[in-house]
Amino acid sequence: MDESLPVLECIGLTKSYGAAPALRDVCMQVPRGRIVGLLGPNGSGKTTLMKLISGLLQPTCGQIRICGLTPGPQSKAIVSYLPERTYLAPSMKVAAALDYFADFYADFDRAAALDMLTRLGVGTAQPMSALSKGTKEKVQLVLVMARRASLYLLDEPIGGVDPAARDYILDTIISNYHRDASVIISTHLVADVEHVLDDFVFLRGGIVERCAPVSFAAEAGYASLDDLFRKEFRC
Amino acid sequence: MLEKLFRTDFKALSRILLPLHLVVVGIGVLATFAGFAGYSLEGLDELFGAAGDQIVTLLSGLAALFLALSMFLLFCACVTTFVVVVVRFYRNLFSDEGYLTLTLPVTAGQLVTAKVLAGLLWMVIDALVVLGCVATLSAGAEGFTGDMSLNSSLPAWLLGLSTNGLASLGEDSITVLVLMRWWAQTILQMLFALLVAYLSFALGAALARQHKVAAGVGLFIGIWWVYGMVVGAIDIFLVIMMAYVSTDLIMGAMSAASALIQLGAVCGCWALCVFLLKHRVNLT
Repeated sequence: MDESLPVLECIGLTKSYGAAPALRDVCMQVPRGRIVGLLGPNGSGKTTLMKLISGLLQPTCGQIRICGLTPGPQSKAIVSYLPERTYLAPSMKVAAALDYFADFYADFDRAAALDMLTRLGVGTAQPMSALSKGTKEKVQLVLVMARRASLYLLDEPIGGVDPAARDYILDTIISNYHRDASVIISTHLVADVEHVLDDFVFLRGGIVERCAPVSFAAEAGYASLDDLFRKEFRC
Repeated sequence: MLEKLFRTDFKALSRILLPLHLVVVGIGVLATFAGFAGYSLEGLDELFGAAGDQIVTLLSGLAALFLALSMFLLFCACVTTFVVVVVRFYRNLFSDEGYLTLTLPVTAGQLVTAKVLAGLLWMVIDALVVLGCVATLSAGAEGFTGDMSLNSSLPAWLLGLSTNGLASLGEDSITVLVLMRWWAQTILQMLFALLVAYLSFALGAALARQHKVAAGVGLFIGIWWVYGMVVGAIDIFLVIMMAYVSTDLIMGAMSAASALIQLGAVCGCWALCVFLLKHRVNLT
């Protein structure tokens, strides 16, 4: 794999559902080792962009390159994706989920996952159905972050959880991602994530409005990135 | 990766289908025993005292009822197996579980193939279990049936197995050929039914905005109906042709046409399923 290539490159990326465009002409690059906030109000196209990058959707036009690869089995092997939904079957035990990830992902670090689960107090013999919604989300996060991937896609990882759980989730992300990898966190809870971000992308109506380092907010005279977000997206 | 996918699918199906089939075997054994025991009670009415005649009639009736119920349960097991296999396909690919399955580092072709193989293997296991049970049940029911022969309702090779044992297969090469042909046709039929169901639910998930499962069921019935019409039309044409060519030739042509249509449909359904998974699925 060519280390000089950006981890993610979107070129003129457009996705339409029927006649309605969800993303329009998105162009962006994410270099290695960056944590990027994909920020925007509901319906701005954040999840669509995540799905396109993870290979769950095909673009209407434009291109996506992940470490130089178009989305497919090879790119999926280096992308670790955490969707908004709980994707582990209710009957699946935590140990079976570990086996599943170890089976399919060569970069899965089982020891790291077990360590995180132990600290979380989750037993591997428990089925997913026995866990609370918050714990299920944490287990999924553990599985995703225990991979040594090149790109982590985290779709609303802190949406719908209490503030204490948000801290746990962000700590897990920061302390586990590989330093050569990049992380894209999609959220509208800007204040909670801005201290961990290097860069941000503002999405509105499927269009990239701004793509800059987090320091841009202070340089432009805003109190914080959250302040900038609130002013730009005021209804 | 295909092997890993197959293993995962087969294990997931076995979690439900293995206990189900163990229960089916248990019921089959009990029903066979009930058949033998119920019939053997005839003539033992003295053992039960004054009301012996009535007790024996009641017990024999219950045994016969249990036998009939077992046959119905075997039919239910076949339907349940098919439903479980198709539900697994739908849930694993088109519900929230799809977020995991569809982001695995595998191709859409491998995903569909693994599900076809795992589903087919369980359908074959189901057929073996059910036919085995039918064979023993038919032996158990022999006493009740009396003059009513089961020969007309069961495949010849199956009756051979139940009455002469497995040894009869080795002695008669024609029976082996019949058996192989019957299994080949059955497996092709299973494969066809499975892929039509997979395609129907994939189409339902890809095209319908709401009630995707209902759309899948509707499409399955629709595709099956269209297939029936096509095969029926070909059969009518071949029957008309009977006036000009020999009946044996026509029967052979009918069988070959049906197999060819199914084989083509199986390949077409597989390719369409792969296309839909790759290009048309949008998980909600």
